[in-house]
Amino acid sequence: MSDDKHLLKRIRCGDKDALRRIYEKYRNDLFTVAVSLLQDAHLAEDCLQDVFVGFADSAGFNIRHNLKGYMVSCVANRARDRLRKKTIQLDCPLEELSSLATTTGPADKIIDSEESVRVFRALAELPYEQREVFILHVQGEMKFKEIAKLQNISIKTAQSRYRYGVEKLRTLLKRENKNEVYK
Amino acid sequence: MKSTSKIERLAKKIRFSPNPAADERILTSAEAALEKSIKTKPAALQPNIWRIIMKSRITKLAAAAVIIIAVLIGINQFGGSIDGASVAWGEVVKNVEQIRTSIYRSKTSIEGLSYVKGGALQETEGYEYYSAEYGMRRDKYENGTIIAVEHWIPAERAIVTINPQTKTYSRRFFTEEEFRDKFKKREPKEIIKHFMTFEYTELGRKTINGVEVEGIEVNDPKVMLESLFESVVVRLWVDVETNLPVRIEMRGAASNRSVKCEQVVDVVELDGEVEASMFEPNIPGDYTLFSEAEINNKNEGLAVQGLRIFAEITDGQYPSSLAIVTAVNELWEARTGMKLSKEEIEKGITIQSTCSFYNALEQADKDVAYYGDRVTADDVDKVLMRWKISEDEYRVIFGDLTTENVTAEDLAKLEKLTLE
Repeated sequence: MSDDKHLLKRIRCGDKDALRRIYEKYRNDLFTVAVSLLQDAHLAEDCLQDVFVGFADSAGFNIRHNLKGYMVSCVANRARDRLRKKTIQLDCPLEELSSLATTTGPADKIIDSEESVRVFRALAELPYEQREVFILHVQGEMKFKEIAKLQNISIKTAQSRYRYGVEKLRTLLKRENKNEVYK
Repeated sequence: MKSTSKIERLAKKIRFSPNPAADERILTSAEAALEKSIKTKPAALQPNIWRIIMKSRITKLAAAAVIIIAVLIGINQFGGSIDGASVAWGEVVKNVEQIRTSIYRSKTSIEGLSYVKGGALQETEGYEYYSAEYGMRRDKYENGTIIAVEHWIPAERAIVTINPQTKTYSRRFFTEEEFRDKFKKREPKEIIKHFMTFEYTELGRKTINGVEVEGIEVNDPKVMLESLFESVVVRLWVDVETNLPVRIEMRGAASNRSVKCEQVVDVVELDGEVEASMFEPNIPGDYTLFSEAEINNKNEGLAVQGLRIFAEITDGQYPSSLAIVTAVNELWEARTGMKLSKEEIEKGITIQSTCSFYNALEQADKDVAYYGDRVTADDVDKVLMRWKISEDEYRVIFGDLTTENVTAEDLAKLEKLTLE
């Protein structure tokens, strides 16, 4: 039995420690997906709270298979709800993002962080459907089949949205590079 | 122009963490939701168990459990004890036999142990996963930290205990027959069957986590599968609606009641899905083997060896009783202020063989008696332990650990000397 299944069984008994362990295990992954989707740290925190309270409220009984996939889907649903309710100001501080971007090693640090920041900024400019597919697939590690089911679309449509999203990101990043050169 | 893979790689590197205040807020509200959920759905586990059961191979369990209750009430009306050999119980066991997996959650508190400073209260929590196919696993937590993982491995007839805090592991090996016997006793049907062979007291009804239950109580140390304590009271609580076991409570005492233990075991799931991998011990490469021992409850030689090693460590004393907790406690007590060496601990584990040997004789009604509370290694003519081997013959272990077969008449004389 996987660690998640073990923890889920404990949560079903009302074990708060197990709930805390699940939270600690997935908080960063889910928060990153939420921020990338919503482009707002405060809304993302609210979204994460909604997801975990809902998860705790059901005592994990709804989950049959992949816990992370289930949680990422919940984040996506909540993020969509929040976006419907409010027009979002894309106000996530850039310097905050820079400090949080992960790196592979000291040599890559500055470039990778800056480049990741650019990708993050470019994501905000994607149509929401494309952004969602891209983020769920890359950051949420969901399969196109799972995304298609979540968005109630065909797998081909999910793949197309992904492809268009990547194309657009590439264009946006290229344009940004040119601007950097002219500065 | 960046490639798709480069864009994906950069996107994967984007990482955010909620701030600590948000963490706390989210966790507090999630914990409150969980608590509320469990309280407002008091039988939160029950529908799950029920659903699993109804979907699984043990659909007949509920019907079987109805028979359990019916038989209990029926027998009680006559004021007799429950006889495991009765036809109705045979039917019950037959039906319960189909449970292949079980998960229990336990909370244990024990105080008075000599190897804990001041005998302070120790509280642990545990999960026990049983699979007829793969074996058994027990996880033990203290203050939310895992302190031990125990694996029962049928293929190796071994119990492996992993201790993350000390980065060590121990192995105990059993004979094939003994392991099979021990493992079989962990089957849910065997637990129920064993429990039901004792005289009981009816406890009436109460509510556990919002579930109405009916309980019975057995007051007999033999009700434990292992000879752990000198006195034991066990209560079994059954859901009056589903007739499924909900909780087992145990109170035990050892070392002349200086050690007291309470345990509550809740049934989490019956016949649920388990994966083979969780039953395989995962020992990290930097963990070292702490102890390895052969346990054999049929081996008189090993039982004598256990007593000999105990006497060597304790300057000629024997455990006052062969309840495991008492024996281990007294082993530590004898060396108050001194730490036992690794070798001494390793050797000391052999006393478990003596306890298991005694327990097996007791369970088999071999008229076993043990006088470790009054016999020392100097008492060459006194009976330390004896048990029946035939109609008129007893096997005797004397204080000096020599052994002999004696008649019942001779035993009476020897015991008179011992008890003087």
